[in-house]
Amino acid sequence: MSDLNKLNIKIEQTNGKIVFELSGAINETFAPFVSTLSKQLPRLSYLHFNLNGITLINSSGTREWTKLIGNAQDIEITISHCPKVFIDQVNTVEGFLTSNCRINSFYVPYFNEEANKEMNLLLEKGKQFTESDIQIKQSITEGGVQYQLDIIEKTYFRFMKKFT
Amino acid sequence: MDTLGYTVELEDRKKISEPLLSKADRINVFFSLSDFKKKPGKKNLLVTDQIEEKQVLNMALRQEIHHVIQNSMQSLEDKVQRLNNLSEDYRKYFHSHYNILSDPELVKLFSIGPKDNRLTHIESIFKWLGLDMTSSRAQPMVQVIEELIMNAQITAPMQRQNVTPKSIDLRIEIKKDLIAISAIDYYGTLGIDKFLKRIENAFTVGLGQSINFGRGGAGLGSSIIYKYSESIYLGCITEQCTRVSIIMPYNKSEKVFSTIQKSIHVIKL
Repeated sequence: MSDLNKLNIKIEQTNGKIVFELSGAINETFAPFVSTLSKQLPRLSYLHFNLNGITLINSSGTREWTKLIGNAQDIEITISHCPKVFIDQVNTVEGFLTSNCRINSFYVPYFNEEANKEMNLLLEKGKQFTESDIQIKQSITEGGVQYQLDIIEKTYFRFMKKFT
Repeated sequence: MDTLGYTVELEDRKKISEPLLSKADRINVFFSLSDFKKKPGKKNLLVTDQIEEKQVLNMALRQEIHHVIQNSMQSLEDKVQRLNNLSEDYRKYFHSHYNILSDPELVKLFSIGPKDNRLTHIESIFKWLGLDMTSSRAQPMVQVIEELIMNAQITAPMQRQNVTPKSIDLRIEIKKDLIAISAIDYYGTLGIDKFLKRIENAFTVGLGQSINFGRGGAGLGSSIIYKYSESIYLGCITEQCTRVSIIMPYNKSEKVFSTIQKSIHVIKL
C-alpha cells in the first residue's frame, strides 16, 4: 500500500505557530484530526497548512475540511502548496475557506499532449502573484519539453479575489 | 463530417444518424420535446442540445423522460446502437459483463471486497491504465471512481437491515477519448429520484449549503459524479442490485470538461 492511500499529518510547532503538513487523501480518515484540533482551537491564534502532498479530497473529506474551517473562523489561517484538487474545492464549495484564510502558494498544472506529461508550477505570493495581480505564463519549457497551461484561467483563479 | 465532439449541430446529428435510426427497431428516437411528449415511453429517447445541467435533471425527474441524449464525445450512432441493444431486455444492464460503450478497446472488471481499501483498488486501476493517479487530468476519474465505490461499498448496505456484506464490481471500459466506469452492487437500494434530487438541490442552494454535517454520507458524492460525467446511467432492481454507469472524457483537460453536455439514462425494467 503506498502513501497515497492514507492521510499523513506532520505537526511542527515553532515560535507559537503550529504548522500542519498534510499528505495523501483527505477523506473520512481526516475526521478524528478535525475533532481533536477543533477542541484546541480556542487556545490558538494562528494555523498554517502545507498541502504539498495532498492527492485526493473526496466528499467526506470536503465535509470534514469545511467543518474544521467553519470552527476556526477566529483564527488566522494560512495555506501553502495547494494542489489543483484543493483549489478546485475552494472554487466550487462555498465555506471550504472563510474570510480569515489566505493562500500563500498554489500549483498550476501544465501539460504536453505529445509526451502526455504533466508539470505543476508553484506560484508564490509576493513572487508570481499579489492580492491584486498574477503573472502567469501560457507555456513553460523544462528539459527540452514545452508544456501548455492546462487550466481555464477565469475559473481556476477565481479564488484569488477572496483568499490571497 | 465529424460525428464526435460537442460542437456538432443537432440537425447534422439527425442527418448522420438517420440510416442507423431506421435500424434501431426497438426504440423510438425523437429530436423535439413536443414530438416526444406525444408518445411517452421508457424505450423513447429524446435527442437534444444545449440543455443546462439542471434542466436535464428536471427532464428526468419530472417529465418522465428516461433517456435525455445531448451532444457528446460518444457518437449518437454508438449511443443509439447500445440503447437499442439494451432495450431488448433491460436486465442486461445489470450484468457486470455488459459494456456501456460499443466495442471498447480496453475492458476490465474489478471485484472489490466489502472491507477492501478503496484507494488500493484505485491505485491498481490506474496502474492498469498506465496513468499517474495524482496528475491533474486523472483527478476527475479518481474522484468519480472513489465516489462510485463509496456509494456501492458503504452507502448501499447501510440502506438495508441485516444484510450480509458483499463484494461489488467495478467495470472500466476505454474507447478513444472516453472512459466508462460502472459500479455494480448487490444490495439494490438506490433511490434514483433521491439521487437526482440531491444533485438538483446542490444546483439550487450551492454545494457548500448542501453538505450533510449529520450522520451518514456528506451528500456530495452524487454531485461530484454528475459534475464530471458526460452520460450517467442509473438502474436499480430493488433488493437485488444497483448499477451506476458514467461515461466521461478520458484523461482530458479542464477545457474539454467545460464543454460537456449532460445526458441521463434511467434504466427501468
